Parts: sequence; C-alpha cells; structure tokens
Amino acid sequence: MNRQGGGQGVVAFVFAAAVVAGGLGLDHGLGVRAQDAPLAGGTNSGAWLCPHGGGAGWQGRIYLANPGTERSSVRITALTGKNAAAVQTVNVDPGTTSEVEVPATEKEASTYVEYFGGWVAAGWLTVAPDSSGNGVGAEPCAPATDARSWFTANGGTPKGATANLIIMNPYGVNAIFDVVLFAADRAPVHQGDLTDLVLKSHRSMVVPIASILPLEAAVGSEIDVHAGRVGVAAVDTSVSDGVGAVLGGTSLTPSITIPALAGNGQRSLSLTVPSADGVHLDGSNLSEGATRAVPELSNVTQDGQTSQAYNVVTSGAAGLRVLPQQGSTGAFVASLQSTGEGSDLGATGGAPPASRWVVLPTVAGDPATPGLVITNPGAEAATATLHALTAGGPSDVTVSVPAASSAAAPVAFLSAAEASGVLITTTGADVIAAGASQSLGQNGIAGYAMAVGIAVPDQP
Amino acid sequence: MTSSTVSPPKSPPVPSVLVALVVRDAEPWLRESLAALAALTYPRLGVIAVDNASTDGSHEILLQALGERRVMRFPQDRGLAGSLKAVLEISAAREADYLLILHDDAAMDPDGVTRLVEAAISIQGVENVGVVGAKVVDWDDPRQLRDVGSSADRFGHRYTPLQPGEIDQGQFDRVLEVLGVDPCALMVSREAWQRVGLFDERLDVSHEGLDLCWRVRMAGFRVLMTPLARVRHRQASAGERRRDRDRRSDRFYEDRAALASMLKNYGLLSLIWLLPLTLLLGLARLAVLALSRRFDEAYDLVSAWGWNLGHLPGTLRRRYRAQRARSVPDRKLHRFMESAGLRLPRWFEKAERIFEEQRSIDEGDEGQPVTRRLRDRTASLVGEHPVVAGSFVAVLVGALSARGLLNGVTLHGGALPAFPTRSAGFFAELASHYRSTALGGSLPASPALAGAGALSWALFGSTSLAQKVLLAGAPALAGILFYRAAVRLTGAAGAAVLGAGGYVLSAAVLWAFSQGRIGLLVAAALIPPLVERTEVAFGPDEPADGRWRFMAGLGVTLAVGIASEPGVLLLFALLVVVQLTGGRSRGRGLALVGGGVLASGALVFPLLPSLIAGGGRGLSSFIGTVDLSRLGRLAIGPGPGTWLIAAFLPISAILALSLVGAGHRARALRMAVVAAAALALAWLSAAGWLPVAVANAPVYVILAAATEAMVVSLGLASVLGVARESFGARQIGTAALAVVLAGGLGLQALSAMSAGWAWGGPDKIPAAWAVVDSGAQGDFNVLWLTGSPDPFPAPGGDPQAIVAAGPATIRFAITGREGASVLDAGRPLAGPGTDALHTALEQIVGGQTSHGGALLAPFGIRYIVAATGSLSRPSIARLMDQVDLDPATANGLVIFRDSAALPPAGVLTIDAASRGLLPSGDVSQIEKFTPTAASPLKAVRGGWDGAATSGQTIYVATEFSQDWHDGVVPPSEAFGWATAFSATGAPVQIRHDAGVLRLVELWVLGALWLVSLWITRKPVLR
Repeated sequence: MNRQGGGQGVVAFVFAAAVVAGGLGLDHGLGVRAQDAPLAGGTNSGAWLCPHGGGAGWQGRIYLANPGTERSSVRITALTGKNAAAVQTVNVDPGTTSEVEVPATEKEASTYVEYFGGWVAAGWLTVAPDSSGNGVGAEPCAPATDARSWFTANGGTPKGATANLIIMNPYGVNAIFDVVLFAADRAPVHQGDLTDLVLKSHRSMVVPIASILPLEAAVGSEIDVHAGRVGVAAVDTSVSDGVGAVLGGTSLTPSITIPALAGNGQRSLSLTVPSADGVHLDGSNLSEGATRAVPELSNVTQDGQTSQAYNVVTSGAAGLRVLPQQGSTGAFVASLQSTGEGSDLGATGGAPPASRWVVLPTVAGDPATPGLVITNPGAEAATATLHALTAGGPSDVTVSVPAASSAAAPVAFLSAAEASGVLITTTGADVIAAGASQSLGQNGIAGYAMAVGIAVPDQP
Repeated sequence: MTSSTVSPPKSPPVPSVLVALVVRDAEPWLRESLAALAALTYPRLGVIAVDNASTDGSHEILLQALGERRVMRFPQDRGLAGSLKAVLEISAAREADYLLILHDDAAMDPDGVTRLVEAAISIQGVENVGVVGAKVVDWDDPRQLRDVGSSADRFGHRYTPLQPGEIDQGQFDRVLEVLGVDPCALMVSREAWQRVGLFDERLDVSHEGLDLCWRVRMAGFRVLMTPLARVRHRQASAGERRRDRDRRSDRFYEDRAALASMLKNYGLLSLIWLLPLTLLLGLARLAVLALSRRFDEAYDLVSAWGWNLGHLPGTLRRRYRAQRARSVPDRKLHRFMESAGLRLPRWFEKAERIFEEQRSIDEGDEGQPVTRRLRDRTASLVGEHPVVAGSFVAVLVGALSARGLLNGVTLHGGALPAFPTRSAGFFAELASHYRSTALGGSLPASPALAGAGALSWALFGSTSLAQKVLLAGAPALAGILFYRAAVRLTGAAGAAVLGAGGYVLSAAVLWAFSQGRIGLLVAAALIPPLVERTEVAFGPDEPADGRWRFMAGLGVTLAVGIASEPGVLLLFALLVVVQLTGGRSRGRGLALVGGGVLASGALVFPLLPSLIAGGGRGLSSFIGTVDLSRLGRLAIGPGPGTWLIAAFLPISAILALSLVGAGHRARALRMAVVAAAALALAWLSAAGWLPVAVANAPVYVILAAATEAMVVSLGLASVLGVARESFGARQIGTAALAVVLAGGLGLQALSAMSAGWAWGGPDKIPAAWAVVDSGAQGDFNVLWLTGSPDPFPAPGGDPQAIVAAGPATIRFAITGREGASVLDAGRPLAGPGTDALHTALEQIVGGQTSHGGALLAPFGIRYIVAATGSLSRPSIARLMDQVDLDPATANGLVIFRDSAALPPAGVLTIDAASRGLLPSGDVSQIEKFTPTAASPLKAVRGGWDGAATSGQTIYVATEFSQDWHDGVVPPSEAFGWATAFSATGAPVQIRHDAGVLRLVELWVLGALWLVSLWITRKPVLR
C-alpha cells in the first residue's frame, strides 16, 4: 500500500514537474507573439503650423510643394486672436508647388495647413511694405507636434524695431503655457504676465518681446506648455520694417549648422542657452570650397539662461557651423540673422543633415535673385540633384558639394523655377539646404529672406 | 409562551365534557383508540363518534364499542369541521361545558381529560381559558414529542419549537400559554366555540387547529397546552396509510391555510403592511423555486394564492365573524408569534442539533484532557456535519468579505459592467431589433438579460440590488455547485466541502469577484457541474436520470453558461477532448454531450450569430497573463487573494494526486490533465498564439482552478481512513496535504475577509474619469485602449478587439459614457462598424494619419481613455501625432479628447465637399470630413427624436440597416457602415422597423426554455 503510494507520489510530482517544464518551455521557446505591423496604405495625412505673423498691409503666402507621387489635398485655415477661418482647400499634384494667399494683416496671424494624401512641404512667405522697399520673411512651417517646450533665438531689439513671438493653437483645446525670455548678462525674465498664458483653441497670439526686453542684442525665449499644444515662431521687424522670421524649435542641440547665402554678408548668430548649463563652443564657416575659422566664434563660452549675438561675416555660399568644445554640457538653440543688400532682415535656423530636402521659395516677386545653398557638414563629398517641383520646370541640375563646405545652386535653374519648391536629393553625404533670395524693389534687392529647407521624411 | 403554576382542582361542580371522536377508515388503530377512550377517568364525560364515510370496518368497530346512539354516520366525507358541525346539532352536545375533539388516531392517557379540565378551570390567575391542548407524543415511540403547542410567524405559517424527532426529556413540562395546539386532542369551551365557531372546513386538517386557536385568542380567550395531559398520536393522515392519492404537497395546504388565516384573523392595519410583504416574499420564493427548477412547488404556491383568490368571498364572510368576536388587538397576540415572522433557516436548527450532540460528547469524555476533548469534539463536529460546518464558515467568510455590498451605494469599479437604471432596460434590450450599445448592429442581446431583468424586477425593480445579489451570489453558488458536483464524484461530503472551499478561495475566483466579473463568476459556478456531467457522460454507467433528461440538463447548464460567458463553450470543448482521449464510454459520451450541446444551442439560438461574429470574437477574451508564476497560482490579474499563498491550490492538487486511491485515480488524472491543458491554453491565449476564437485566458484559468480543486476533493476522499493504515508515505502526504490545504484556505479566507476589492463606491473609479464624465454634455462614446492583456481602468471593462501594429499594437473597446454595459453580456464587439473602427485605429497606430480624430469622429467617440502606463511608447506617440486628438491633463489616466467628434446621433450641417465624403467608406476620404456644425438628437426608446431643417444631414453612429427610417426618406449608408438621412424639414423620428421576427424569436426561445426546464424539473416532496 505504502509502496504503491510512494510510486504514485513520484508520478504526481513528475506530472507537476512536466507541467512546470512545459510552461517554462513555452515561455522561453515561444515567448509573447510579436504583433504584425499594420498594412501600409489607407491614409496619409499631416499638418503644418505656420505662425508667420503679419501687420498692416502685409501679404502672406503659403507654399505647398509635393515631392511625392500622390496627389495631396490641402486644407488651409487662418488663425488670428479673434477667430479661425477656413481659407481654401487646394489640391497639390505630385511634383508641383502651389501658392496660397493667406491673411497676414494681424500681428498674430497664423496659418494651419492640413494635408491629406501625398506628403507636402509647407512654408510661408510674408511681405511687408516699407518706406524703402519691401520686407520679406520666409520660413518653413512647423510640423504638428505635441512638444511641451518651444525655443526661439530672436534677433536684437534695437529702438524702433519689433520682436514678437507668434504663438498659434490650431488644436481643439485651450493651451496654457509660460514664456521665459533670455538676454545677455541678465537673469531670465518670467514675470507674472508671462506665466499661465491661456491661448484659446483655434486662435493665435503675439508676445511682444521687444517691449519687455528692449535694446538687447539678442533675445531668446522658452515656451513651456502645461496644457494643450502650440506652434511658435519669432518674427522680427527692423527699424525700416524689414522682416526676419525664425521658426521655433522643440529641442535643444549641442551643435548646429546653418546655411547662408546672399545678403550683405553681415550676419549675426543669435544663440540662446535656456538651461542652466552653459556652453563652450567653437564656430567655423563651411564656405564654398573650404572651411574657414570664424574668429568671433572661436572658443566662446556662454552662460546658461542667456541669449547672445555673435557677429559673423560671410560671403558667397556659407554654412555656419557651431560645435561644442570639450567640457561643454549645455545645449542651445540658434538662428542666423542677416541683412539683405537692401535693409531687409533675413533669418533662419539650422537643421540636422538629411539626404532629401524640399526648399521652398524665398522670392517674393520680381525682380529677384533667387538663391539656394547646400551645406555639407560631413567628411564625404555630396552630390545633390535639384529638381524643380513645378510642371514644365527646368531640367534637373546636379551640384557637387565637397566635404565640409557649401555650394550654391545655379541661379539660372532657380530663376526658371522662382515660385516653385526645389527637391534636393543627395548621394555621398547628407546635407543641409536653405533658400536665401533677394527680391522686389527696383533692383531686386529690397527684400531678403532666408529659410532652411524641409527634410523629406523616408516615406512621404 | 408563558408558564404558570398548577394548583389542585377546586370542589365541584365538575364541568361536563363531550368527546367528539371523528373517524374515517381507521380500522387498524381504532380499537386501540377506543380502548384508550374507554379508560378515561373523567367523571362527567360523554362520547359521540362520527363515522365520516369509512369504507373499512371502522363503523362496525364503533357500533360495537359505543352503540348506535353514540355513533353518527355520513355517507360522504364531511371532514373534521363538517363532522363537528353535525355533532353540535345535538342539543346535549351544545350544552356540554367543553367539547373535546379527538382524532381517531389519538389515544389519551386515562387522566388526560381530567388534566385538560384542570388546566382550563383550576390554575390560579389564569381565567377565561378557551382552548386546552395536550402534550402530543408519537403513537409508537412515546418518547418522541409531536406537539407541545405552537405559534405562528407573522405570515400565518405554523411554527413549532420542536426539532424533528425531539425526545421528551421533560423540557416542555409546564403549562404553556400558546397560540395553537394540536387539533388531534383539542378541548374547546362552549363559550369559545359559540363565540368564534369551530373549524374552517375549507382548511386542511393539519392547519385548521391553528386557525381556530388564533380566532379563540382574538376573542379574548386563553389557549393552553398542559403537559399533564398526554396523548399518543399516530398522524395517520400524514402517513402513508391514509394518504389521499390526489393530495397535493403539504406546502400547498400550508400556504393556502396561512394566507386564509391572515385574511380572516388580522386587523385591517396589520393587513396593510403584511399583505404586500407576503406578496413580495412569495414572489422571491417563487423566483427561487423557478430558478431551482422546482416547478411543482412553484405551481403549488401559485395555486395556494389562486385558491385564496377564488375563495375570497367565503374568507371575507368568515373574517366578518372573526373580527366581530375580536376583543384583543393584533399587537397583544404578537407575543405568541415568532418575531418579525421570519423564521431562521432550517439549518440553524441543524446547528442546534449539532450542539445538542456536542453536549452529549461533553458528557461522554469526562476525564479526558481539556485540549484533547476540544480537539476531538471539533473534529467530530466537523467530521459528522461537514456541510453545516462548512456552511457556517462560508457564511461567516462570505459575509465579512462581501460586507461592502451592504450599503445603498451603487457599485462601481473593476470590470463591473454598468446595469441599466430600470429592470425594464434588460427586457427592452432583449426585445430590441437593434443593439443599443457600442456601434449598433443586429447582434441580439444575450438571453442572460432575461434572468438579470427578472431578478431586478423581483428585487423591487432595483437593478443595483440585482447587481449586488449577482455579485455576492455567484461565488456562493460556485461553492454550492462545486460541492454538489464533487460529492457526486467522490461520495465524500467532507472532501467535497474542502474542495469547494479551495475553489471559491482560489485566486481565479477571488480575482473574478474582485473585478466584479459577474459573467465569469456565473461561468465559475457552472464549471463544476459541467466537469461532473462530462465525467458522467463518458463514465462507465448510463446517466441515472436517463439520457434525455441528462442531455436537457446539460443543455440548460451549458446554455446558462454560454449566455453569461460564451467562453464556457471553449472550456467545455477542452473537457470533452480530454474525455475523448482518456474517458471510458466515448461513443455514448460523445452522443450525450453532443445532445447537450445541441440543446444548449437551441436554448441560446439568438446568440449564435454573436458567437461566430468577428471570427469568434464572442468566445474570446483579450485579457490574461503570461507571467508563469501568476498562472501557476491561478491569478489572472492582481487583487486580493492572488498573492503567493494562492499557490496552495495547485500544491494541494499535486499532493492530492499523489494520494488519490485506485477508485478515483483515472478521474483525478483526467482532472489534472485538464488543469494542465487549461493553464497552457491560458498562457497561449495571453501570449497571442491562439486564434481569437479559442483564446480566453480567464475561463481556462477558472477551469484549471475547478479541476485542481476537484483533484483535491478526490485525493481527500481517498485518504479517509488513512489513519488506520500502517504508517508510510500516504500518511506523510496526507499530513502535508492537510497542512497546505488548511493553511491555504485559512490565509485565503483571511485575505478575502480583509480585502479591498476592486469594486466599491464611486471612489473605485479613477479620479481622472471626471474629466470625461463631468467634462462633457450629452451622449458620446468612449474609446478604451490598452497595449497589454489587462482590463481597462473602470468603468471601461475589457478589451474587445486588437489592432496589430508591431510595438504600437493596441487592444480596444468602445463604450458609452457610462462605460462597459451588462447589456453587452455575451455579445462581442463585431460588425461593419467595428471593422471600420479597426481600420481607423490601424491608420492611427500605424502612423499613417495625423487626423485620427476625424477618423474616429463618425463613431461618436469624444474621448480616448487608457490607463497610465498601459500603452507602449510608440502607440502613445502615434496618438500624440494626431492633430485632432487633444491630450487632457489627467492623473492616472491617459485621456485624449476628439475635437472632431460627432454626436452618436445628431443633425449635421455640412458643406458640399463634406457631403460628398459622407457615403464613402474610404478612410482617406473620411479623414477630410468636417461638419460645419453638429447638434445631438435625443435618444428615446426605440430610436432618436429631434428637429432638422431641409438640407441638413441626420447622422446616427449605428450600423446601417434598411430597417431604419425617419418616416420620410430611406436611410443611406454613411462612412461605409453608419446610417444617415437627408433631412426634409419634418420632425426627426428615427425608428427601427424589423417586423415581428425578434418577437417570434423570443417566444420560441421562451418556449424552448420552458420545455427544457420542465424536462429537468426537480420532483416535489408530497
């Protein structure tokens, strides 16, 4: 009896052991089944935020370039501090660029661009009439994002100039955020009326930086969003109503490369370090054919929570590169402020290198000298093929960009496609591309605008 | 009852007593009765016998003993009351001071009448005695007490203080003032009967005594029982010897008499509150009887009511007389009645009996050490009465565990589904031609709603009370049904009780209880019977109750399970598969279970489309766990009782498997194989390896718990008597099993009693839910998301479908603003609307759209809700990418608001471009859809009402059907699945017109249930 009981006990425990072993086998052998990826197709949509600002008499344009193979339907909504209004729904055929006039007569004017179908790149161009000619501002629009923080590096706030933050909220809920301003040699400004700002759903607003921090060489800002989502840009006007616009960024970087072209060569790098950690940087100019040192940016140190301007002189196609030095732990946001051959401002930010770019028009009208610069920050030479996104446009051209240098696109090519976006595809190395053009006025130099391109996503 | 002292009788005059002996077919015992009558020593005694149409030799015996002058004979049975009426037509009888009514099967001790008269006239301070009764003992065994006076509960039911078979030890030997005495030897004074009359001839002989005494009491007379007068009573009417063939159940006569007595004897004020209460308790009893398939008894109860209704005029006449004679208010009679009229359950009486036995133990173990005595006594108590002891423990543990249900708060939390606010809501959904929840469609509601609705109705129309009763009752039912199944399989009540305890206290059942998973708990209750039925079907012997009844019974059990939790079908399939590989009579077993499955299919036939909809999604569950240590201890999710101690059940099962005897070995092995297979299937379900139609981790785990507990029962049944065997491995194993089981049960019970369950008051809903619940007006739908195989936070319920998207894979469900609804019990989220929702979600988590809000808008989804941390980073990122889904600040929940949402039913103002998009089911078009304005329609019973102007579009987020109409224009399909109308300017009245098909379905279903329940009804005891 007991012997039998003992044997049965062994059988029972062997059974239990088998169950446990089977479980472990399943767990280690099979594991949790990986779920399939969804089938591609169906929809493709996205949105761009274009906080371009405006003013009395200003004109606004949105450029939409479709580098893909599918037609895109684009719905455009104009936002102001008072309302949101549907502007237009346009179709952008593959390989073309569309231009849509948008309202820009309010300082906080913004445009919300939604696309369905093929991917499109969107950028804005504003034209402000002034006494001496025209002020032209251009920047790419910002992709819709849920970023909690935005950063800008504005230009200076000299007497008579304006410097505004344009903040737009095209979403369905109110946005609540704080604004912190940075300048050189002073503590950050986050006074009461810059905290817990409420921007209603489907509205935009302006924060007048120059009236808060006048007479600063450079002003930077940080917008911390507590609720909702926003899009931010810095729009400056000069004493002579020239316009410079820089799209806000949602992240900080320890290094940056900003292409530059045209203008009078006098440029100012606005560099804002919002965090407490300062930066220790070194700058160089990846100019046409060679890399040149930039003495003003040689071995500079900037404290945290400050914004400073560094004057730089360039000529021809250039790419201003700023790299961290050993021991630099901080990160920053930067923009390159330039002045055209007239008195207009031009400004743009940098971007990481990519192999495909769409550069949108920076020409406001004739006469014009369109420009497009390609900067190759890499160690390998790049070959860029330029394709005009317009029906019946000029033939594609190829531009070679040696390592650590910049190159300008042929003017003839650009002149034949002034109002169209340009698709740049590179081989060899990734590059950064930007448009930089002068236009309007009697000599075509009244307006000057710089705008970095938009990197084309892998699966547009 | 009260007692008084007895004093010697006073001097003459001696009152005259007339004995009225009523006889019918009493030949076997009549001589003995007459001999006892002849031996009576009372000096002024007259006797009149009434032969009530006897057909045996009774009449001759009476003539021989009493002579013709003292014997009356009726050609037809007039009953006791009719016979006495005839007796009292004799003037000598009318003039007697006392009338002693004596049954023909009663034999009084010689001094019996003397003692009765003494009690009536000679007790100091006790005057005005109307009725005196004797102590009634058994005819054959005079030590057994039959009656010592009785009382009644407030509802007129007789109540005796005696236990069945109680031995006369002098415990009632004092004169007692009572409400009623046994009519087998009842002496009534002339004043009393002249004032209130005698028996109500319509009542049964067992109940007319109480009725008479009650009326005598009302008239201001006393009713006494004197133990000095003893009468032996044969109770021939209750026995087989004189039983009417057409006689109905005793309960019928009791209910009939009780209600009639109430109607006659209570004052109006008492009736005002007692009658409704009687009706409610009767309805509850009726429900219980119906649910337990005791239809004969239910019929008897209804018949008793019907009898009273039919005899109401006669009752009212008798009431008039009784109330005219009244001199004592009802409240003064209450002391002779049982408090509140609600008698304690019978098994408290059993408990009392146990304690009586314990007393005898006390007497028997003098000299033993106290600790030893206590231990032995306890062991004896539990061993002798495991069910009662187990029941007591279960009631204690259950009461403490479920104490949170004892308040007026509506339950929230866990996966508890919302109940409709009115019981009619269940029936409305059941009869509805369309699904009123989620995205509509034609999948009919589960027949389980009929049960829930009926329960709510019986519980004063309170659906929240029904929710609590179901929640509390299901685990109790699981324990009871496990016990019944186990005791049939093991033949050992103690082993079955312990197995039932292990099952109910298993992590799986406690988790289901904590989560408020009523459907799963019902399934848990039905699993043990299913296990037992499959064992019987494939066992060596034919089913004891016949094949047809077996199949019908199995069909009913399966049908109830499927209607509550369709996954029951999966576990039943597993049981059958194991039996097919390891059972004995495979052919017969297959035929029987096949018949049962067919029967269950017929009983839930409207639900069949739901079971196969969405590729069998109705059978599946998207929750579970792949954590082996959790699965090993049968814990599907976190909760009270799912800690490490929960491993006591599998460990006990292993120990029990090692101990199980030859008689149970094959069965135990099959159970163990089922448990192992069920756990493997549970893991494979949660890990995503099983096809949707067979993936249901919760039911597999509960099946594993049931079969493991069954192994424990089988093992325990095998070790009975092991103490008498020579010491060895079995003793050690038994001791180990005892320690593990006792420790596990105890600690699990403690855990349950001190548990904070997932259900409770409104605080069980995440505080962040207020963002959704109070932040928006009107109707809307909520999309629930999770990335893991876990339930949603309350009140979201469980995931209903899955969208595969690599690391961004999500499980989802859609509910109304109240969360998961019980109206969706057994009904999956499936249909064209669900498919469209799946496609929309695929676009969102696939990262292909930034306009997820627009894609979700047609579904009426205003909020997307997930538990914090339940979604993977990629899926959160994809949601954040949506420009029209706005994240809301919420602590504990991830909430997105769909700024593009349409109302689930509304009037849309749309431009020409959007109008062109409306008929499209193409997501690339739908994401462009933007109405200019949308105003909601009002949901009414059967549809929606509102107003719209010509040119507007009426949109309803319910699956398209041509049967929808607004009375003017036909419906059109919107977004490839929903329903739209072009407004004409007329008032909007959207209704569904599907003819009488559903109604016919329900009638057929009802008929099938009645037939099957009738086939499986329980026999009634006569």
